[in-house]
Amino acid sequence: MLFSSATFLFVFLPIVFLLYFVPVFRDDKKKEITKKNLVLCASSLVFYAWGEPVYIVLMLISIFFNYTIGCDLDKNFADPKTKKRILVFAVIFNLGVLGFFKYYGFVIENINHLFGLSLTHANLALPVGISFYTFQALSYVIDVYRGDVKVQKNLLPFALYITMFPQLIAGPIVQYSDIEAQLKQRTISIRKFAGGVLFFIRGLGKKVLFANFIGAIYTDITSGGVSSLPAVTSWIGIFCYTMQIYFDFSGYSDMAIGLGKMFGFDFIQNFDYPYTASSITDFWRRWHISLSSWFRDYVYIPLGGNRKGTARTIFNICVVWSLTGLWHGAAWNFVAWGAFYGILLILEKFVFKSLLEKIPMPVRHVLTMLIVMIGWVFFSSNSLGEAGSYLLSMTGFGKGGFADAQSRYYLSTSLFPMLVTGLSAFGVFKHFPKPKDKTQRLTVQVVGYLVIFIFCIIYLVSETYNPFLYFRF
Amino acid sequence: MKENNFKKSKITKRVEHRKKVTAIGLSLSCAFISIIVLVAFLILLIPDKQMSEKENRVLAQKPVLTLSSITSGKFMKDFESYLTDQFPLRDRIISFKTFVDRSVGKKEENGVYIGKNGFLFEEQTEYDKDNVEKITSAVVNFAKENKKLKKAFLLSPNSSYVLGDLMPKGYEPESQKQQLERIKELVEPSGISWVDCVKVFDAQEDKTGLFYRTDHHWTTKAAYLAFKELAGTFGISLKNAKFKLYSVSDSFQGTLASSSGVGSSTDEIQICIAQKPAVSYVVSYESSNKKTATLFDKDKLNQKNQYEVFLGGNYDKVIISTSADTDDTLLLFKDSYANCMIPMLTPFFAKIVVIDPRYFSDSLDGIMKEYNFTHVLFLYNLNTFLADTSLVDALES
Amino acid sequence: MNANRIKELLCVVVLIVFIIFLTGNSSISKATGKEVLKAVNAEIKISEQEDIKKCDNQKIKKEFGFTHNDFEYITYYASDSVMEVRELLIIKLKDKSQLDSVKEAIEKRVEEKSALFKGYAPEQSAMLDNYVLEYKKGFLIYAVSDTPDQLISAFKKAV
Repeated sequence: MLFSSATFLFVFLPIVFLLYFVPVFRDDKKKEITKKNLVLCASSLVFYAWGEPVYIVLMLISIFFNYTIGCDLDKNFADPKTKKRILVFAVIFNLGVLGFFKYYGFVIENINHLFGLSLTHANLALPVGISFYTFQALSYVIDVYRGDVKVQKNLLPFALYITMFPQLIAGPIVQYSDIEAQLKQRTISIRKFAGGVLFFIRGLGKKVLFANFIGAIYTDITSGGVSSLPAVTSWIGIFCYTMQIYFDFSGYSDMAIGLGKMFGFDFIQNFDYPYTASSITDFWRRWHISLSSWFRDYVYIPLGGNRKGTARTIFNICVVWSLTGLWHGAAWNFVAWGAFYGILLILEKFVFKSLLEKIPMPVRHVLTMLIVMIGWVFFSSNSLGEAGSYLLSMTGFGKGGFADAQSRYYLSTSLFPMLVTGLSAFGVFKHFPKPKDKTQRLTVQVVGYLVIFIFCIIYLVSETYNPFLYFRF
Repeated sequence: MKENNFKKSKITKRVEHRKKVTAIGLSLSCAFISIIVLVAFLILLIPDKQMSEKENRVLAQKPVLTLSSITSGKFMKDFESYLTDQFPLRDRIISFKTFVDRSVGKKEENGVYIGKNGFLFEEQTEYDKDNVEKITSAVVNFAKENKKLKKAFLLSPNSSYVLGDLMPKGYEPESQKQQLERIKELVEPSGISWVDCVKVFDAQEDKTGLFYRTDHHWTTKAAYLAFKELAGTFGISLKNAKFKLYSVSDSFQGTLASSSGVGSSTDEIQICIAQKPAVSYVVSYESSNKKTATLFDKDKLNQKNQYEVFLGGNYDKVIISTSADTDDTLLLFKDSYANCMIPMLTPFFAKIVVIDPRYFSDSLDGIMKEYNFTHVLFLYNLNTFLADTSLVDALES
Repeated sequence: MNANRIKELLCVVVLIVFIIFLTGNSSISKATGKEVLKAVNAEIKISEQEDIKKCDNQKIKKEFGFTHNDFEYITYYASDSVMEVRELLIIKLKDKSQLDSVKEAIEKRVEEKSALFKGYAPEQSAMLDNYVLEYKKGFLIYAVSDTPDQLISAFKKAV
């Protein structure tokens, strides 16, 4: 189920609200929170099964396995050798499942390609959210191993941690330590709920009004093949994609955070105006924060981070960034995308550090933005070859030349949406004058958000407008 | 004492502020929940509709719950389309959305370009050289096998060429004039006369009357101009002929209005009737065993797609027998552009066999043997022709 | 071995079983084409429909581009009438590698066909939208019918 679907908004959510908020055990706080956890966990399973009716089994296996591992680690906490063996086993299991479902086909195809073999492989669909929940489970297991968190002896709260539907299929990747206490006790209040509603509507608006609208332009531009695009058109295209992916992804995170708040949870922020970054390092502090911190905490620092000399640091950065690339998808263009950032970060850290500090701020912002947009070319393409032709088109030396009539058409029709999304992503609207009185400001905000919500519903319904063209001839 | 009072007022202020914030939060929460619950109830309570008049399609109904439909995920997909198809006020919501789209500068809606003066344009079909060559070589082969027949090819440009000035700025597809020129070069050498619509339409001073604003067809007026040119090609004298245009509707909203959801303008439909020489005719629709004495189906003016008033729509094979004083018989391969022109042809042929290859699955050989044709006409509009795959099959059957 | 270890191994076993179940479609059913046809027919009674009849190999070639020798079994029921969209095609593949190209050919045909009926005949196009294309254990079924769900379950049971 997607948050931006009618089923979720008008059927699933009302039912979950009803079951969750109507108290059953008025006097027994402990029982009431267990009931709330149960409702949330059960509805999360329904939520997941709605999109992946078969793969729910896989998730249940993962929950039960990692829960048991946690208990096992706790039991053998005093015995470092056994403890380590258990951890290795757990990591192999989790990565094995992820690897099998996500990378098996990719690996086999590459082996075939390299050695001229023709091994066949079953074409299994990728289970939605597996990259997210596997990483969440791993963070728990590793933290228990390290003794950073207490073991969860109750299956229900642990299952809730893995399945919680707001962040289940697109993050943010919540670390167990951030949420441990909330699983037992959390404040549910009207103010928090209202805050959640604001977050949710903002995310929905980002996704439905901004991302879908601007994404349609990108799809339109690339639908006729990318090698014959003129430079102007291809820049418009990649700008639109840059906006689409930010509003899509951060919109989803906002909705997740908002829903979490409604149910009393606090998730960490996942995006912090990434396109206002002044360097690549800065960009990755602001983009998909929960993933970067996961890799930092569970790969980069355990490998030694930057404390073991330059050579080792460079090696560590390389490892982290190839993995980051691969995490996003089983294809070479994602690896290239990860490597692109790895190399840039190494350069920024060791070569251009002093140079970068001399460049005036506005230029740094523009440079960062250009690099990020070039990065998205790798990310958005279906293959490395396609990314190459797109980049060639962007230089103006491609088959399409510099501009044509289509470029003018796109420029004139897309200018307004590009301007609005651009200004919004660059955080310009943040600085708009607001009413001084706090209550007044809040009222304006609330009314504005409700209008946005209604617009979102209108756009959601209209997307399915699907007229049959009688006599299309 | 004073200080105490001051402190107190500060605290009460803060408490008041908190109260206000909570009140605003409460109203937001209530509004949010009310909206989703209200919509949920409306979906539940409003009786389900079977058809959408506006979209001209069957709407999704409540899906059936079975184990296999759940494990395959089909139930979930169908349920979502059920909700969105039966959404309260769906038609109005969609009109509102296209209005918003247009106000933020969107010039294209569902493959339809929104032009000036209320004109809507369909996207031009891309020129696929291989397909064109495939079709034209079938046509050429047919011409070679039927050397004795008088053959004409009438390929109309679309409004995106004729009314190109009214298209949204910047959308400049390849000129259809050149595409037509290329097709002409492919078919003309085989003895097929080319009816040059571009020349006829270009000579018109006011071109806005040649196409509907809201539909992808040409108007009866344009068909009449093309018909005059065709008559010249076939050697039909129109000296004593007299045609009259009647207006039958002014509330026509065609396919382009429908698919874009832009419904701000309407069109007039005219029909053209030959007054001299006056003929009577019988129209027989073989596939449905139906015979009528008219080429117009007035009932269709009460339905959504009023263009079906011509010939009652598209049929695989229609045979028109007339009382015309001639032995000439015409075989017509056509798309729906021909439908409004056929009444103009009736005074000049004893029999017209109209074949729409898209629905035609018979053998052409049999028809060629059954009727002794003297004339053959291919009548298409360029957009349909370029995407066509059925004419080849029909000619080779 | 302690209880936790047993539970962990149990998870591994269940996982393996699950993966085998998922990839299990690669096995080939022992049923013959005729048996499957009979079972499906019992559900939708296509052979009793007046307009619809069994088509010869030439028709199959014309409609889908398939040569009957390429398959272990192929049967096709359709109507000559233009406005009748209901049809049924059952294929037993010789080799799973055929699956993609066969599926592609059928999907392309459905697309072409529904383009013809879109808006022209809403009931027909709704039926075409709900076409069935399922693969299980060497068998492929394609059908346009009023009762797609029953048809699928009959097919799955028979294979």
